[in-house]
Amino acid sequence: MSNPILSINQMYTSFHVDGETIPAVEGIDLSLYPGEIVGLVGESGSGKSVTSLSVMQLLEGTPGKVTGGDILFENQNLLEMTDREKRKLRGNDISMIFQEPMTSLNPVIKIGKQLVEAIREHQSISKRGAEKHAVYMLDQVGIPRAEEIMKEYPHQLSGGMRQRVMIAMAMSCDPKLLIADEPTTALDVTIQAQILDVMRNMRDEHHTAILFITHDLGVIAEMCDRVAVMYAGRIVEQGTVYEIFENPKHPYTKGLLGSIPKIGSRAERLDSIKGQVPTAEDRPKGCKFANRCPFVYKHCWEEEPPLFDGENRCWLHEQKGESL
Amino acid sequence: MLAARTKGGIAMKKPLLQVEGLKKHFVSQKGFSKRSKQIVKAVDGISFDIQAGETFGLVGESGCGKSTTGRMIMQMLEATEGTVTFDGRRMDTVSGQELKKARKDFQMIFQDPYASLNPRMTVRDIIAEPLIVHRLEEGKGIDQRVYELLDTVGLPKKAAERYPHEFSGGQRQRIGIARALAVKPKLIIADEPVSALDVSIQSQVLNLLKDLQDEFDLTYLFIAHDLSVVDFISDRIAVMYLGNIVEIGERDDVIQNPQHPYTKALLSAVPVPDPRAKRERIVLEGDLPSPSNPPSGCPFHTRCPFAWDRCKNEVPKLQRGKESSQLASCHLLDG
Repeated sequence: MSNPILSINQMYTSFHVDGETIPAVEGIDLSLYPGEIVGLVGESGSGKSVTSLSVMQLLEGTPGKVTGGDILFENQNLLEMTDREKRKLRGNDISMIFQEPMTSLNPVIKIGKQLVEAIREHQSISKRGAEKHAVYMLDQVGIPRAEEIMKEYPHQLSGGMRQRVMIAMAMSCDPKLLIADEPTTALDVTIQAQILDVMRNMRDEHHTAILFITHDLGVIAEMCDRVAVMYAGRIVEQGTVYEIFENPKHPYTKGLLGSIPKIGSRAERLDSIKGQVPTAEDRPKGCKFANRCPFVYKHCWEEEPPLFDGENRCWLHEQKGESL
Repeated sequence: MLAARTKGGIAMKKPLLQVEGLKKHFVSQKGFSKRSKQIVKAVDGISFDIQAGETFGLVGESGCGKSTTGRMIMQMLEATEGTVTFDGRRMDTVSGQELKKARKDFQMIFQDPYASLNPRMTVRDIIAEPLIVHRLEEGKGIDQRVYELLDTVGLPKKAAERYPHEFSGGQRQRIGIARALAVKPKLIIADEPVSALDVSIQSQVLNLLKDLQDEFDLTYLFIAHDLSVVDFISDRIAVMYLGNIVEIGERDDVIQNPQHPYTKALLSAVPVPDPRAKRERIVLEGDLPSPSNPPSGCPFHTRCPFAWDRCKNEVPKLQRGKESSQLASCHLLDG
């Protein structure tokens, strides 16, 4: 296999609020290879968005900071780059799309101008050439009457159209890595289906690696090659999409899969996970899932399980880990 | 299981809620000129019945009019046309006083558990308020009933002294449910009650709603955009598109054997949590048309992969297909 395009090693991110340090992400390892879609799934407060912001180096100006580990993009450590180097990388080699496209587009600038600016920021290309490229990109993401849309303002478009514009913008510089943070969560399912198609095509045609962050396991099953499940600032399990859905090992993954209603199943009840995600301050001492786990035993409260086999953090799998 | 939920017996009984030809047309001004008025047809003539003890799911994408329907039934919004009959009484014509009394029998649970609870009231006061307003309990009885309700929805007694902001989303939704249950309603209208919650919490609340239904003989009108959730909880389902019901029937018929092209497309778009699931996706072209300028004929014809001339000119009626027992509004069923 080729070298990973992105590799996150033992990354820690915490927030400093009122003299206190609140750990958001505590030591995660994750790699992405070219052309691969990796899902990062978890509930609110699990640290998945903080992970994406850490990789994009977008925590500046917030109380958050990457406090340990490293983030390698094509073997260059993002944490050691100058602002200038980072700026060049973002938008050029790494792009990001967010959940709410309205907040990421400038409401008083026409779509066309925003696209052209983004393209010219990173490529030496004439204005006319950038305009042509922008129309081409809008066309690529399935926007009808692309030339007219260029002259419109973001508010004149529907949510699905705005998200497509964002994808067109993110893809306009042909990035090697796309980070998509809940890109379809605010959209209706029929529109979501269209957007997911667009993203899949992008991967197939441009070999873009995509880090797909979502809470929706259905979307994960549909889009991803590999999946990392986050809980309380850690990756508690990772594997191929088949391993995760067909043979989940961590009790949290199992609980999560049992919690979602499956259409047409005629189930009378859903399995659920008792209690709720602990806040960063109230995480239990040992295993962070101990207070909600149906299989918890004494050891779980005392010591945090390491990542066994590099795939799951649960003491139940300790034996297997030792034998290898 | 309740007798009323067995399918054979339903037809004989009088429905708890009857909605007949319900319309809501909002008039909005376009631009600054007073003359250029625009009529937004949020709900454009829908009818359905809900039997006592059943869960009726109303599903559709944003802007289809499902929430507006819920608010008209609650009488929080005046209908432009049509009638709402609850337990044999016309709700749209009763006086304010009578409506206030009648509201005891139908309660609502909202989507946003952060916005629907008064942040300056303790949980005790929030749950006690309907008991006092409807004079259901007095003195010590109030506290006792509040504790009882907290226990019913799975919250500890000590929750009563605390304020909404001290709770998580799932717990707040439980508080909202306790408040709705306080007056022993017959019908609960739940508008996207779980869509703001994380999946592990969503399943807790869905299970709770099912348990409460069995325990208190509740009838639910469950409004949501998530087909998997609606499929899980409902006995019957109506699918809305652009202010109209396009398909209505027993849950299994609608989900397993959809007849309307929109229902088919919607079902095919739902992401399935199984990486090996075979997907035959019907991708819909374009966006939802604006309800202020709805298409002629069938409201779905602009996006329908099967549309032909007739669909542009003639509004299809809800009808039964040859191989289905539910109703759908599509000219294809004439065949």
